[in-house]
Amino acid sequence: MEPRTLTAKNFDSYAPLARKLTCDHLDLLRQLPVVMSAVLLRDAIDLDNRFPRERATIQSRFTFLESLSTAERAQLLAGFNNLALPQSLIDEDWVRFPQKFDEDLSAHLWSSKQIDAFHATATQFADAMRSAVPAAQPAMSRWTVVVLGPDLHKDNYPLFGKLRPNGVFFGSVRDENGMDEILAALSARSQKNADPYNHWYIDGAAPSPLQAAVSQCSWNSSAAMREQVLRQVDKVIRSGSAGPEMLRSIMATWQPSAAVSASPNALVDRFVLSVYGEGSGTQIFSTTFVQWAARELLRRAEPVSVVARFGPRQRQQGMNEMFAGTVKEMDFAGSLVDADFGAYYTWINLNRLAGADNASFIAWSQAHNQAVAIGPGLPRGAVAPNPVTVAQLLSMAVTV
Amino acid sequence: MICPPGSTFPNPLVANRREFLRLTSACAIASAIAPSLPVRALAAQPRRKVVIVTFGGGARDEETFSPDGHENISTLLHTLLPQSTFFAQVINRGILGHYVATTSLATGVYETFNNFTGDAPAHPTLFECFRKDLRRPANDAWVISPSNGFRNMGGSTDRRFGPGYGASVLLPKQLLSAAAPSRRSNDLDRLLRDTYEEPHAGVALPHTEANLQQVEDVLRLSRDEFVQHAISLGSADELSVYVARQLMQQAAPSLLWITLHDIDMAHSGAYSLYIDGIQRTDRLCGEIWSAVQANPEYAGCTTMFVLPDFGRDSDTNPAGNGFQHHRTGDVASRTTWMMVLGPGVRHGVFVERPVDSMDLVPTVGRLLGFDTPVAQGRVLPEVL
Repeated sequence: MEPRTLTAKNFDSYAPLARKLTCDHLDLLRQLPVVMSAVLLRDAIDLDNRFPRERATIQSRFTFLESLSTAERAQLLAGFNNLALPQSLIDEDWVRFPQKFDEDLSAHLWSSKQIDAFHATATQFADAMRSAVPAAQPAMSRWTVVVLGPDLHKDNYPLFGKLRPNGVFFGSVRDENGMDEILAALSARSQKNADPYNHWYIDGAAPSPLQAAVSQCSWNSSAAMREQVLRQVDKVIRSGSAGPEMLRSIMATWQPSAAVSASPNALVDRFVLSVYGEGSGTQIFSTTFVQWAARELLRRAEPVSVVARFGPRQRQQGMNEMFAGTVKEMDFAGSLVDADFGAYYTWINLNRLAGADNASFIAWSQAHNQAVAIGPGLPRGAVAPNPVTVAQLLSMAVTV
Repeated sequence: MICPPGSTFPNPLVANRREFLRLTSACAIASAIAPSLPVRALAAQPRRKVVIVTFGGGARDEETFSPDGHENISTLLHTLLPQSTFFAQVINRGILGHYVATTSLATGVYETFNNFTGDAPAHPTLFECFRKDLRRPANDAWVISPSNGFRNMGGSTDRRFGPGYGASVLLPKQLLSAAAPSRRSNDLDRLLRDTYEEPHAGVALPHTEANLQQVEDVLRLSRDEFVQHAISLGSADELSVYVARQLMQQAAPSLLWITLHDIDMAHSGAYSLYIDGIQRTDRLCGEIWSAVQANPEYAGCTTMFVLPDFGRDSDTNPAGNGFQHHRTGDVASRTTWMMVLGPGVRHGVFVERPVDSMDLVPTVGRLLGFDTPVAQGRVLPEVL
């Protein structure tokens, strides 16, 4: 399908918000290179399931492109226009199935050695858009706390090695209801800004009780959804008709039964489904679930407050143990290593957001009684000489 | 990042590697010293053998040869490195899927087929060139592959060569699956799956009589012997190395390719399991070299190449999720290393200049004395 042939009827299958957005910008879509149109539609088609911040970002891409003159747009997107694409790819129904087009495009770009040219143009587009439409500053300073739960322990493990150079390491942190303190701080922040998608609590096991306008998801409370996703994934793979790329595409559009809802909030429920359906390993290991969920919500919802607690994951059995039918156990030491690296990745993802310079970040191990705090006003690569409580730790890092 | 063909990647880790090597071994820059043995003379020997081990699937500098990774590769660093010539920048400019990348290593041409279809490559493999040019029998070139998806990497579709000259392929997990069907379980099915990139179970492998015949005819093991030993092993790669040792004892092929793959568990997103995979692979590389040294058919006449197929995404590339995948094509995912050991290979030598993954095939061809007319790479003079 050539973009110039697009009509409003092509978008009849879209959900209401997505249909309105695309039809409002139909003239633009007709003028773009097929790759750019399809890339825009890949996110736009799912607009109704996206968080408010995401919707604004998706809409701003259309607005930005429309703000350019024809010559400016042609220059910015010349790299996409210059890609050599087979007619079979162009002929795909990339309006109704942009994910499928995306997979096929990716395979073609890799095999034809055009993937770097594609990335270069995509980066150029992103840079131009950032310059023209600076990312919105957060409603309040960003604040993220990663907790390595009480079961996660490994003797003599040097925690937070990647994070320590960026902040203050605390070698002795007294718990004293530390998790309650952290959730109380999250609750207090949520009262200062009422947008529920701005404040999140993710738990890799059973969540602690929290009465606040905070978006939540957890490993335990989404067990039913996880099981249904696993069954569906298994069904697709056993059919032998889908590799990993296509599997993700299939899962992106798959709907579980309403009975396995992970959240009463439709957007949060859909978010958890995407974590399970499109993430790799999220269905098997709770540590991966927390890391990927934190990454995705920071990228998509751009929240100002996040509490992510890692719980223990199941142990990966050796081949000999599988043969012997050994009972599955939890891997507390491996979970600690996973969570340590997950905390580092969460900090990296936090730093990609607007307002990161003023963001506060804490990672705390409940079992090891150690923490690291990073934020404005805190020195880098420092070690705190004295024991602290979690409350004191929060007060040092918090910049509400 | 744009990486036009023929360009080189800046690699800040090279400096770290060089400093480390200088501190811990008697290494020297390759151009500064002469070979310790006349390799060309060795090439003329009929018993000359090559073992290629891919340190797979997909390991980054951060967890291997950069300072933070040293603790994961103690065997490579302390046992193999002092005996080796080490290439610090091996660049893979191809598709970063394990099967297509590993097959490209074996053809010396960046293959472009779909990674997940298990196609035979279009260009002749080094096994075909070796067998055709040197008129070697079928049992002189073997491939040990981690999964059914790699089953066709022994021979190409090139009509001048083709399966008639290809390597015999052993699939250890498939052998085990065929030999112990009653012991299968859901978890074991997952282990026996083709790729770690799928989030759950893979398609079950077929049980065929041909597999069982391979156990008895090639490995010279009874089905019970094979199963009893195999089920005592902890991972698929340990099984591959067990099969490799048995094959070396029974058939002693001159050209042996072992594809290790445990590291690809990283796709599960569990960093500790990725590290476990690297540490296990490190140990297994040492075991393979020990097996070479302990086997009279191999000792003193075998060159071993150890190299990852490619790396994994960097922590900071927003298009990826760090170690978990290899989808971005960034520097970390394309830059790896190679270690070469054996008679005539200079010890403790550090090669700083960037080389290409495709250089493996012509280099092996020169070592064993066969032509590689289609391979795109260049012979690496540092190991000749």
